[in-house]
Amino acid sequence: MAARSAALKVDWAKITTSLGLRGQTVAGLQAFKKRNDDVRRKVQQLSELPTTVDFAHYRSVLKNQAVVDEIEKRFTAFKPATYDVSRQLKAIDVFEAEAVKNAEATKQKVDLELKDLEKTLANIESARPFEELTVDEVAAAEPSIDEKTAKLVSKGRWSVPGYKEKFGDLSVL
Amino acid sequence: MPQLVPFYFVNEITFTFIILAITVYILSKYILPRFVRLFLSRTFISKLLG
Amino acid sequence: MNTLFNTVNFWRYNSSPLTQFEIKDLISIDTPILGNLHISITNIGFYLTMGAFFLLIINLLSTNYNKLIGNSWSISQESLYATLHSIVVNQINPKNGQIYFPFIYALFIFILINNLIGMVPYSFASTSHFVLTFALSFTIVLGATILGFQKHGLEFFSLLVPAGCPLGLLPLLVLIEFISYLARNISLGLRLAANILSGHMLLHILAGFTYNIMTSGIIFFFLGLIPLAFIIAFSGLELGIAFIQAQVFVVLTSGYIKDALDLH
Repeated sequence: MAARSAALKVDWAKITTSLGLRGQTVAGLQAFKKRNDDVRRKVQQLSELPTTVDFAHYRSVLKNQAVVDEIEKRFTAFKPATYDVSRQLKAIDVFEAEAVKNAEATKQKVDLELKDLEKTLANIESARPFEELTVDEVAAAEPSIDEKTAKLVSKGRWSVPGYKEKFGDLSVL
Repeated sequence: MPQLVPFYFVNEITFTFIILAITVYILSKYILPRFVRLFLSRTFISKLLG
Repeated sequence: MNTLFNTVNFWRYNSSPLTQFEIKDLISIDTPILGNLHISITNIGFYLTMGAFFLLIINLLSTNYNKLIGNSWSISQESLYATLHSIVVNQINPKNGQIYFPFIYALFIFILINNLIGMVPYSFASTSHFVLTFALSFTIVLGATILGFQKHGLEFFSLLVPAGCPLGLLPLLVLIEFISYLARNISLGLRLAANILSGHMLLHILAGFTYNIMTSGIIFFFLGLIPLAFIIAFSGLELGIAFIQAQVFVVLTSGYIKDALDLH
């Protein structure tokens, strides 16, 4: 009874607290634990019941010996059914390995994401204010600005389309 | 009037035209394109911000 | 040294209001080899060069370290840019006229800076010289005419014919239009130089007058404060004229270029 011993070893309270589980997961876990307990209790009760039948007594009391014989034959033929749980256990093991692997992968992904977010946060915190931004930096980030400037100037256009509408006209006339 | 005495006319006009030509060259090559560049980067930034 | 002394004496005892416009050699070389050329840096040449340097330095310094958001210096430059750009766009052509923008900008700055340098006491008003302004205006009108012929060929002469004029009046009107076209040469340069010249002469005469009053007695000193206030007010007016004349010159130049580009 390997599964049973494993179930006994599990510290249910610790699972919830150490993993920091919440809500539906906790409820599901508790339901699972309750089912486990119930089944175990039932097994206990059933195994404590007497399993021998006094057929000699029945044979002396009852007239119809054939029925008793029949029942005795059936009774001695009865064997408790045994379930081969090794396949399920194997499946559970595979599932567990898979789950652990998934969890590891998720952890790595979350770690990477965290690092990225921390980098972004540091970037945001160390960024200079917008007032300090220079044209050279913008042009370095967006090379098309220099290209556009050269194109406009070489075509003899000295105004940027849409600029006046957005930033207003500083003309004093 | 002293400014009508022709002795230095050529000198004056030479200076004027040389300086005006240099000014036009420097303005159109270096100074005015900087304004266009500034306007372009402003429009670019404002497009980024939405 | 002797000439300097003579100049100072001349200034002190014989100061006509026009002496301030005299051209003098600062440094000069006579070149007997190159056909006796008298190569010299005169005071007007010096002040014109100074003006060019001012223009350069102002444009180099008033950029707010190339930042995206300007301070008041760079915004004033942007305002100048926008103003001249709007003049060019409105006067010449919204699309193709912008090619002339650097020329118009340079012309405006050149005239404005030289007008303003003239406003500094004991400096030299280069734009009060008819030779300088006529050289500019003749060149501009000649250039606009060449531009017109290049663009329209002989059709450019239709500029001289007003729209919808009766045939009988045609010779007379063409003559008048032709004269008015030629008069642009004169009027453009004359307007600028005459304004600057008259302003400076007026200030000089008033200043000499006030100086004589204020040095003739303690009561007259206080009496002289009234014409002094006038002089200061006129200086402010001259400052305005310096801007307005530069603007008018540039607007008319743009108008002439437009006439050459688009025939009516």
